[in-house]
Amino acid sequence: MKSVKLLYLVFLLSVICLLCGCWNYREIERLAIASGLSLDSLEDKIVLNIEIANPASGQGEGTVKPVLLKSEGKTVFDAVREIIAKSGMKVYWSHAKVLLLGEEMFNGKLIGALDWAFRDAETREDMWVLVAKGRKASEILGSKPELEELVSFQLDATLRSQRFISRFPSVELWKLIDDMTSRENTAILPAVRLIDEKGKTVPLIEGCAVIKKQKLLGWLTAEETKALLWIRDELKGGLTIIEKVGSPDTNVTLEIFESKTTVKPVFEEGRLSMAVTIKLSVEIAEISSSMDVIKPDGMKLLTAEGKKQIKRDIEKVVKKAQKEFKCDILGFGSKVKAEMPDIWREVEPDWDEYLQDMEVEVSVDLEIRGSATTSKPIMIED
Amino acid sequence: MVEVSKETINDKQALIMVTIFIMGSTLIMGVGGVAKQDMWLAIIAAIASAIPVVLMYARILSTYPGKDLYDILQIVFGKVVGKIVCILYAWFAFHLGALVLRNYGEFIKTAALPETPMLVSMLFLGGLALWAVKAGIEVIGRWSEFFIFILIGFILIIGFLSIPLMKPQNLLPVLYEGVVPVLHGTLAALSFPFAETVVFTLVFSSLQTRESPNKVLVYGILLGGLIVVYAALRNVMVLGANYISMLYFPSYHAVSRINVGNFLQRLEISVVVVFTIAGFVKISVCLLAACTGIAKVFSLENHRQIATPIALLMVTLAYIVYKNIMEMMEWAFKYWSSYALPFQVFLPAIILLAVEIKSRRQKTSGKPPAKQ
Amino acid sequence: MKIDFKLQQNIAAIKNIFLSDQSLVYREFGKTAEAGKAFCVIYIDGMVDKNYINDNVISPIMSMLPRSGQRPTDFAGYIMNEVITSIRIHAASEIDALTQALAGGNAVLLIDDTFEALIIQAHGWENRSITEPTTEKTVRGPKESFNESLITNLALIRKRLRTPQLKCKFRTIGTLTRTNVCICYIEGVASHDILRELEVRLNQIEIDGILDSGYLEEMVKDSPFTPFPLAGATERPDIACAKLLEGRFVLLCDGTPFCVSLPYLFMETFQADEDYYFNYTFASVNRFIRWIGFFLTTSVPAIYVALTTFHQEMIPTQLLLSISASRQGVPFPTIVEALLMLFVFEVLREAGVRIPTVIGQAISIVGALVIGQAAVEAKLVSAPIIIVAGLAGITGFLVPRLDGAIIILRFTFLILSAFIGLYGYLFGVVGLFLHIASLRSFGIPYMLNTGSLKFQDQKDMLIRAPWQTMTQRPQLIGKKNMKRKADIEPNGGKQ
Repeated sequence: MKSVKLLYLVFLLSVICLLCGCWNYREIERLAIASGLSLDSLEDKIVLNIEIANPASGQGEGTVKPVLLKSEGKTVFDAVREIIAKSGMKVYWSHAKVLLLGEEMFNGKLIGALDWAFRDAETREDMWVLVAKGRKASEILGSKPELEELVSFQLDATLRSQRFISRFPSVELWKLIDDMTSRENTAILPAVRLIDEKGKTVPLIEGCAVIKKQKLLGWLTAEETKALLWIRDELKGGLTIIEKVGSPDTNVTLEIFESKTTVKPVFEEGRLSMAVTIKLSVEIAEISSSMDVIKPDGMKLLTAEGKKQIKRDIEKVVKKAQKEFKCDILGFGSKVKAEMPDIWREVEPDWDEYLQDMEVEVSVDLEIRGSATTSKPIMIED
Repeated sequence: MVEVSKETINDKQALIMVTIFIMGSTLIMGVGGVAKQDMWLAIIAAIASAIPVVLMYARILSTYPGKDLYDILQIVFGKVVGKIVCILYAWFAFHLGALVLRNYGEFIKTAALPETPMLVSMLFLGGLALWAVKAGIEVIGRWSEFFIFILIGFILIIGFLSIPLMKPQNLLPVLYEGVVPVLHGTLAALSFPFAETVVFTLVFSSLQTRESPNKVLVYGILLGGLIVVYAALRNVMVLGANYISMLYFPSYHAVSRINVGNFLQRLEISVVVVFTIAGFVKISVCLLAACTGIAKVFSLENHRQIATPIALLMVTLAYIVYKNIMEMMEWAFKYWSSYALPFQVFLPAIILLAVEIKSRRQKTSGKPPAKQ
Repeated sequence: MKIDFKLQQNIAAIKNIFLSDQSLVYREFGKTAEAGKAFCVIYIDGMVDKNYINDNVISPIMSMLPRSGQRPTDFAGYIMNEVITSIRIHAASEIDALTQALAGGNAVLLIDDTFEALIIQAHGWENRSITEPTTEKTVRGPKESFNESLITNLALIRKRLRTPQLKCKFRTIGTLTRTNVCICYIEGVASHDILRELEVRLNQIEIDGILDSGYLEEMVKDSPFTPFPLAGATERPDIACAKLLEGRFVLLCDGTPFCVSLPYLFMETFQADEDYYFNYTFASVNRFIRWIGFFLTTSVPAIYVALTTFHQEMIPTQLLLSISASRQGVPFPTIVEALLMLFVFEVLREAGVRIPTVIGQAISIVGALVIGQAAVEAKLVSAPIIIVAGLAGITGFLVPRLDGAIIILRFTFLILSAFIGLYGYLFGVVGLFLHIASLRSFGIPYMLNTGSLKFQDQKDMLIRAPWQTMTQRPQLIGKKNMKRKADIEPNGGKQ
């Protein structure tokens, strides 16, 4: 008798399971898989463009074609739902790779743009965030990259390889939110623009945008971005070119293997200053003349020149941050807070002004640990 | 027949149950959030202050070997008062179980299945807890003994994978806002989860030796505490205290950051696995305690008879206890301590006092205290 | 009914019982006219060795008859002790005893003018010879297997365990088949509690016939409804001996080459006899593969369905796109597809087992071509589901002893997964372990030590440790004498 009851129970449970199992059940082929989105501002509305990765059905090969959907709404989510009315498909967000922001979004609409992406359970917070420079974000999403079919995948691949080039930061959504809410309300975002190449318009990521409290303060070039990453200890690799070592035509390209920056606040005689120490381990990757910088005295020259030039670059960015942007994109504030909490309590209210004429001591420790596979430059006797 | 007449669990299983119980909903909800980046300090302080508390529980239990707190209450306070306190404790266990169940339901709803009614996941977990209670504490013990491997395995793997994401400077500055928030955090962490182990005094009636309750509770607290401290440290180092304050379920986000070689990523499910296993043990123990309590108060032969209605009631209570997740968080972090501490600290202190007086008196009158 | 004094009366009585059974042979001899000098041998044709009866019964009696003058007072006793040269012989005075002996393959000698008859054991039926095991093949290890004769099987065990501590207790079960069943154990190692329990359970069996040890296995189970095996079965004498050495009991059953070993633990399903004959590192790898196989065969379809219908965010983007592409145009929902393919696989498997080997190839051709390739090309099912069903099916063969449980688990997990995704699967796993944690085999927890951290307990579980280190028998089972190398005290010492 007991077993009969048990059987009934099992039967009922499986019927319940099979009949009601449709709350979150979605067939994979019915999903419109979003690979990226762009947000532009149009008067008081938000213009949303979504790039959908559309797997072409048919014989193998797995070609993916981009489909661009466009909608408008009062809020981002409003626009997102608008898509259903237009395409009949509910967009699936978990595989969205990039969030492109138009420049106009920085007129106090940034939180409105980010909040939905951050709050929604489907979107992932490791989505990359970029700023479209000079063009509308939707135009960038609509361009045709060279290698990948989808713009989003191309941007994703580029941002992932950031550590080999270091000409732009790569910033995930969580990092942006974290920076904006904690590190003195400033953040940097990679800038993407369109260039013409062989008659095609191709997206290119270069430099970065400086943001403070929803406002876009300005842009940094690729070189400046690298220096900034150096100070923030976010540089993981890439190149640095030391120009005119010994002779005007000798440019030495160094590949960075290790880089460690320590920022130490120093409090002396009632004044706060910063000591930035950069420890670099590099290899000579390219020498543009027959000048032998590998032999001991050449090496000495190269090291000295390298230190000088790197220091110069970095100081330039520090100046720019202090004088032009007048905000703490360098991340000094959190260092002071972590190491000198008592002093931080005093300087915190007007930190930005305090920062403007703070002394920053930069020292570079350059270690050349090799010269790739050859021991001499290509010697051409004069 | 080789059948064991009374259900017994060995010390190791009991210890593992305590450990998993502590991990319970703590790992996912986070604890000591008021202390911000010092939450790990708050938790360590809470562990330190929990040890005398659990020693108190152990002392009560080991004075009357073979009896659980319900029996002891009736022995010490007499039938009427004893039964009233018993009902209070049965309610506490029942309520705690419902709250954990609700935490689980909210978590699943928020993190993964927004369209599925919360009742479904809670019914499933409640049903499993009911099954476990019907199978008995012995089975729960054996089950835990096996699943601690999976738990520890997941926690270790996730731990290793999140090392590259950790930023130790997130822990600085230490004690920036003084000691007061840390003390608040300590109190919160003491009442949730460490002193919640008071529920175990309601179910551990048959441990191996007189010394067992001591050993089991203290080591269980230490081991479980270690894991909770580790989780807090990881969360702060990966996410930063400021970011954590924005999130309902910090661990879930900390783990979702993991990305090893673009292949090992999106591992949030491991958090769900850990929460399901640990939450299941916690709910089962609470349900078992509640059923035992009701059975003892109304002198039923067996707690299994009433397990089904009580489990269903628990799911119902879990369903109606909060309006939404905001209310749940507010209750868990603001009011829980003041509600729970009487059950966790003050009442046990009174009971211990009564137990001591009674056993002294009996000793002088020459009657051994254990025989009742 | 007592045996009558008159020979003809008795013959008539037996003929009456075996009415219309023409396989009985009645051979009357002696001086039929003279009272007290007539005999009759009765047996069932084919079950008795005729030469044996001839040489040891009929001819001694016939040669005695002429010399005998006075009939001794205990004539039956005289015949039994001084005339017939047979090893197994005893007297009976009930007709019932005679008929049962006849049905059991004995010969009966009726003697005129006595109240007793003689039962002569002279089994002469044909037995299969000892062959290589067919279900448990090994590359290395003994190649003998049990056959259908209980006595032969016992001898196969005896010749490996040459100790007087090996005990065999016989009993007969089945009201019609009257099957001989033998409980074997090593005195001093095996637990008496379990023996007592086993005997109680065997005594409780009420059934008309036992045709295979599977009947016994099921009827002595602790929990009758679980799909998990709570007793082991083997046709290899070496495995039976290994189980005995660990302190387990082996039930031999007449008429089947499969013996049953008790008590049985969950981890035994992952042990194979070859593990113990090969190098232990290799054996450990194999055992690990079996654990993985168990996981895969039960979980792969469930996880696939959960991932593709609930947790698409967990699939890497490229894979997601290619699964999505292969699902385009497939009419069925994923869950239906999965159920369908798994069902087809089970059908093919069952057909493969039942079908005569000669036409077995047809199955694989139909299976591979029609179900596999054609169905995908016709867009009836998507390609990934074929891989999933195939993987689940193949890995299922790694743990053949669990096949019943595996099918049930696979479908349960699948349905739960289709219901609330990986959470359903997770609930299923939690439930599964609750179930096996609550199982007991003869009072021994089914999951004994599976979650233990001690090396001693894990030596024969996830891995197979070197023999030098396996110095102890499994806990609780061999608890009377834990040390493997120690001598066993006669009659088991204390406890």
